[in-house]
Amino acid sequence: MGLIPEEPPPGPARPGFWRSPVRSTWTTTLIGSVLLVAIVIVASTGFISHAAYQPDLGRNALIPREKDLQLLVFSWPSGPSWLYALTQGAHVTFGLMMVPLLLFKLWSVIPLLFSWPPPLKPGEALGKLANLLLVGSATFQLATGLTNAQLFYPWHFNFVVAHYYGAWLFVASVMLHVATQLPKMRAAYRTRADVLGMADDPLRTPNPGTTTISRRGVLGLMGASTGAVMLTTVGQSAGGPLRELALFAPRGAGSDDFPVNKTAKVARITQQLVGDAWRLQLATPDGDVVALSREDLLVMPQHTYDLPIACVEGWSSVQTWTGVRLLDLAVRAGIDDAEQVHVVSVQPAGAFKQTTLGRAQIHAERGLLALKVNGADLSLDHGFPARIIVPALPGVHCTKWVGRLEFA
Amino acid sequence: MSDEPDETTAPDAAPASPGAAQRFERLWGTSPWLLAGHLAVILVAAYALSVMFQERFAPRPFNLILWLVGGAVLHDAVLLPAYSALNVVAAKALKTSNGGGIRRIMVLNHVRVPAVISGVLLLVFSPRIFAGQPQNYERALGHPPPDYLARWLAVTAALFVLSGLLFAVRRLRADPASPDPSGAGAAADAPR
Repeated sequence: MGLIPEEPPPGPARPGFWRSPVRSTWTTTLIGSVLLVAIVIVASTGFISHAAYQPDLGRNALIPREKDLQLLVFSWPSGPSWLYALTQGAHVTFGLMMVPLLLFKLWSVIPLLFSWPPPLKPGEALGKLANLLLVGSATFQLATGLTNAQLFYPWHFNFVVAHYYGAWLFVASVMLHVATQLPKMRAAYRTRADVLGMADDPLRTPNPGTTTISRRGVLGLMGASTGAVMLTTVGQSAGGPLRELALFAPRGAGSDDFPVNKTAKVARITQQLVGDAWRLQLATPDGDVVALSREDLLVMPQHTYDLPIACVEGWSSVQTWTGVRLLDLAVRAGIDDAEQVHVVSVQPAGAFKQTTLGRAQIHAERGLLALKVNGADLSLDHGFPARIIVPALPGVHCTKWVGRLEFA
Repeated sequence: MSDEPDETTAPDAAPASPGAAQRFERLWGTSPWLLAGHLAVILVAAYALSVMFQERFAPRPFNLILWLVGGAVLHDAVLLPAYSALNVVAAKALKTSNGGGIRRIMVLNHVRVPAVISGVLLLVFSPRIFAGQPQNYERALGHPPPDYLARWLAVTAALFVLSGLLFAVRRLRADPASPDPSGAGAAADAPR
């Protein structure tokens, strides 16, 4: 103890260095409570998205299965049709909204970073490390998430693995943080009005500057900046007139009402691959292959449904799709009660040129191999000659340019 | 779980007979419960990091380390000091620090509010506003990206204009005797 002076050195560790009269445990409690709601929404929808990719099927797992610490394992349902549009839209929109919430939260507790004396006992040092993990993983999740959702990849690591395991770091440290801070929060809520007189509030400055904004003003500003982020993002998921307000979202204002996640050019789709010679190959259980031309498919019973296409990057869009039921194709392949279907695209490039769908998708009434959208043939960018479209299925699993279906 | 990690300054004033937990706390610095919590988080973190840092996922481990701690460091060492300094400069320029007067404080807030909203938008949408890797956008969507920087500038200008108009309206309608709507009440909160 003797080595550490009792009096902190000049600077941020001095009591009175931080002068905002608005900082207090009550202010932090209010900001933290709002942030906590956002964290619960963003974390749960994130883990739900991981489950929606159905990593237990085929080669869907983006993280090697034996290494995967999975919170939720269940077969993803095929309804309601807007399910993934909602969960993933919420994940991205609330994730972006968390940025201002976190900024206000960190602003409100900054004096504690410099609390004096510095941690001397091992337990206190661990506490400081836990805080570093908390803030580090929070900024890591937000930074990687918001850059990825805006098609900017400035890192040298696997995004899916890093963002998924970053979530484990973040959720674990948030849980510990909430558990340790709960007594303070409860005290703050209990005392409410007279909490301002709370004894020994470490966040109250002993040297307040001129009051230029009220606590209500700070919370209002937090709400306004969070709302601004929401307003300029949510239209890419909600669609309609809101899309034109989504000024900064990649699939927002000025972009197509019906965007694509990957153009035919990037997937290296050529006319040869999808021209007249194209056939849908249906693998039968006895090892044979039924080859169907687009005309063969068009004479099968056609069904038309309004279904959303919803991307992991948060955007979604409802269109009117027409095509053949997956279940009819399974029967055509000679399998009455198919459990799985392995879908293979003709595209030579891309991480999602194959996918495996489960029972819920095959047996969904509105589970289609779509041939047309909005009454016209699919465009090349939207997956001509045929693509998967199934209610509630993540967009990347709605394989485009389908060349082969293997029911089992 | 009622013990706080920041109970560091004053050890308890000699309880009648310190139990094992108290003695542990005096030596270790936290309650045994908190230690258990720390150990649980370390366990989860060790597993998560061991997967993230596998060579096939993170061929350049230093890059991942930078991203993991960089955000916290950049925030605490750059972003927060920067906007705090801007705030101090603005307050000094408007002389709100020495009493100032309600009108000057109003001006300050009519500058601060649009500046904060615009700054948050800039931070959240910086990848597109600064047009990072525009080829990714074009390859994915099939058309070149719109000018997001122009959009941000337009939104920022609109926010400041709106704030200025509001200020003008408030001043015109202000009864000099009426209390300031933005700073009312909080002044009384300051302790001592």
